[in-house]
Amino acid sequence: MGCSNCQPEIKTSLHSKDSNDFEDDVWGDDDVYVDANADVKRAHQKQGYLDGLASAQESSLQSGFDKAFSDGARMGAAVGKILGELRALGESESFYQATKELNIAKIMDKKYFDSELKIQKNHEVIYKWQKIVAQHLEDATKA
Amino acid sequence: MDVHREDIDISIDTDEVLNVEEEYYQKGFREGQEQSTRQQEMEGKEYGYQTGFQRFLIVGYIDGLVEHWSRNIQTYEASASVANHLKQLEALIKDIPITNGDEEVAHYEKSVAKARNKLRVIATLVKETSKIAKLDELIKEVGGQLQVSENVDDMW
Repeated sequence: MGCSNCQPEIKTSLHSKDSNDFEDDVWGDDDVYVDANADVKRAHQKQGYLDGLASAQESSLQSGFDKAFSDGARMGAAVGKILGELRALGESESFYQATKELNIAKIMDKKYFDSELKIQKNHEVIYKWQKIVAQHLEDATKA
Repeated sequence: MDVHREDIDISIDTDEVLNVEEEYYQKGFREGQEQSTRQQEMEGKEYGYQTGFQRFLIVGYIDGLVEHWSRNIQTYEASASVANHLKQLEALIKDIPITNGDEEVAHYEKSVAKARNKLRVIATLVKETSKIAKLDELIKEVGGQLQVSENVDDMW
């Protein structure tokens, strides 16, 4: 029983001479057969996976963008408002500190997002500064 | 798929073998496609967050000034005129949509341009132009270059 046509990259029971032995021998070792079959599955699954990787659904980049844009806009508006209020109040020290802490790179730190890149309901740094602004406003009213 | 079907040493049901191959190929394909689709969606989200944030800093800033001036309206000369301008400015920024459709973005551009002009008028009127000085630099500094982050690796 020859196997001159066997391809080296497909070393599985289904393609090799051994497979015939297994097929013929109904009492063959089930475990061995299953393992060998798993190689075929893996080979095809891997090829499919690679082809699939190159076939991302085209709309996904845009849909991600559109989903996050509004939340980004809300955060940007909140940060802008904090800065506007602080500057208007003449709180130059707070203002300066806020420009550092509310910088986009700090706000967009991945620790504030979950694995789906969803933002916490109240971004803690923005929230902190909103409270600082409120405190300044209160002080200004008293003064 | 190109896994040399013709080379298979046939001694068992060919259809069955091909079905198994096809089934696993498709399974892999779905997984790969899901993976890359998800990855692209994530990239889109990062970019969306950044863009939304950058574009609305100015809107929030104007909002903050409007509230400040409105609170202190009594302290300005010509307060009736200031109040009138403030009302218009408030209306302009209140209606800016925060979604990314073509129409909404056009609306944004138009409203922000008008709001900037209005902002200058009011700041001059109340003699507080210092509050809008270097506004573009500020927006750029806070919302701008992401690469200046000291710990870029921590971002997404």
